[in-house]
Amino acid sequence: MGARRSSCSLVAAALTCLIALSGCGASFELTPPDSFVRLEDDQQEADGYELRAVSNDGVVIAMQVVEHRVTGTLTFWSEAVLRRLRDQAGYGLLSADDVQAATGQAGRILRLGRDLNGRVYRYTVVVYVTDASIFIAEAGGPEEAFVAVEADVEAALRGVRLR
Amino acid sequence: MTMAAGGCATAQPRAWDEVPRPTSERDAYGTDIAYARERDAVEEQYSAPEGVEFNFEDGDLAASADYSVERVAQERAVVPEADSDWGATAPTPEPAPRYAQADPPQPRRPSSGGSTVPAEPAPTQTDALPADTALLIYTAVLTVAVLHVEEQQDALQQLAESVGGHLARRDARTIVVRIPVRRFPEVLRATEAAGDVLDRQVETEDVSEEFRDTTIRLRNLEVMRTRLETLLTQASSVNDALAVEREMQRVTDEIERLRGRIRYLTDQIAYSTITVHFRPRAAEIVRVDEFRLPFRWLDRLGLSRLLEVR
Repeated sequence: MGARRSSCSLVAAALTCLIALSGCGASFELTPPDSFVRLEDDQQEADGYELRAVSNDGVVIAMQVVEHRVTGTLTFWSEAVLRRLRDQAGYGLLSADDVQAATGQAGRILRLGRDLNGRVYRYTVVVYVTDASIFIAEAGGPEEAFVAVEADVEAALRGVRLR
Repeated sequence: MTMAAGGCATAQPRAWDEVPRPTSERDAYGTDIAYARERDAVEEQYSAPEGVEFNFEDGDLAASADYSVERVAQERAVVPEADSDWGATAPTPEPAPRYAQADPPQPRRPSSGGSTVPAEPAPTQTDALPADTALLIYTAVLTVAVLHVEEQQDALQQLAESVGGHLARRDARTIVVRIPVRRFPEVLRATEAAGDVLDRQVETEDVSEEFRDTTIRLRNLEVMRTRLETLLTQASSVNDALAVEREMQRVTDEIERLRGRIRYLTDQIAYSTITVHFRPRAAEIVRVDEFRLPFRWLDRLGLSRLLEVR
C-alpha cells in the first residue's frame, strides 16, 4: 500500500506543471488529479492554452493566462467571465465561491452547467487576478464523469501556485 | 330678356321670355320695381344651407360664426408679425372694416341692364367686400428630419388639436394638419423646432377676387331662380313649363356648385394647411442586449473550445 502511494506521488509530481510565461513574466504550477494526463505543450499553446490535461472519461482541465494590461479587480473580471458565459453562451450558474490559491492570491470559482448536444455538461472556472496576469483555470466535461472527479478537480484548481 | 350669371350674358330668347310679365314701374336705372321688391324679399328669406348666410343688401357677406369672411379678415390682420418671415403676403395690419360700414347701398341696375344710364356709376356687387381686404389661403409644406417620426407626428397632431385645428391626413412619414389661420405662425414655428428643417415652402394665395366673383354669381343665380319660379307659375303651356323647369334645374345645379366652391374657399381661408414630411434622422443603433466587453480572451472560455482537444 505504501509502495502504491509512493508511486502515485511520483506520477503526481511528474504531472505538476511549472510554467513560466516569458511574455508577461507570470508563471504557475498546477497539478492535475492523478487520473489526468497533460497534453503536449506546443499544441496547447497553439490553441491558446498554457496547459491542458484530460481524463479517460472526457473531463478536461486547462489554464489560460492573460496579460493584465487593462487592469481590473477580481470582482470585475470574475463578473465579466460570468456574464459572458451565462448571458451570451447559455451557461447556468450553479454556485460561486471565493477561493484562495496555494500562494495566497484571491480567486473566484464559478460552477456552471450547460446542455450540449442532448447531454448535460459541467463547467467550472476559477479566476485569479494578479498585478501582471489574469489566470483562468477551467475544467469541464460530461456531468457524470465530471461529478466523479469534481472534488479532485476543484482541489487542483484551488491548489494552483501563482507567481 | 338677358340673364347675367357669373358675368356671362346671353341674349338668346328663351321660351319663358314669351310669358307676359305684369306691367310694372321702373326706377331711374330701369329696374323693374316689382321685380326688385320680389328679389329683396327672397334675399331676406334666403338662408343657405350648412350655416352659410349671405346678405348682399347691406354689403355684408358672412358665413357661420366660424367661417365668417369678416372674421377671417380680422384674423388675417393678426397673422403677420414684424419679425416673421413665414408670410409671403402681409395682410393689412388694421382690423378689417365691417362690410356693413362700407359705402351705403346705392340703387343698382339689374343685371339685365337698363335703357337709362345713371348719372353716377352704380356700385357693383363686388363693392360689398372692402377692396383692401385680402382673402388669403396659407399653406406650408415642410420636410423635417427627426429622430422619432411617430412621436413628432403625435406631438404635431396634439398641437393642432389644442389650437382648434384638426388632423387632415397622416401616414407613416407624412402628416397634414389644418390650423386656424391666426394660430398658423406659432404652429409653423413649433413644427420647425421639432427637428432639422430640410425643406420649407410657405405659400399664400389671394382668393379675394375669386371669392367675390363666385359670391356675385351665386347671388345672381339665386335671383334668377326666384324669377324662374315665378315664371313657372305663370307658364301657359306644358312646353313652356318644361322649358322653365329645365332652366331651373341648370340654375340649381350651378348654384350648388358655387355654394360648394364658396364653402371650400371659406374653409381654406379660415384654416391654414401645414403638411410635414418627416424623415427619420440617422441614429446610432445601440445593441444593448448584445453588449460585449472588448476582451478577446473572454471568447476563448467555454466547453466547446475546452473539450476540443488535439
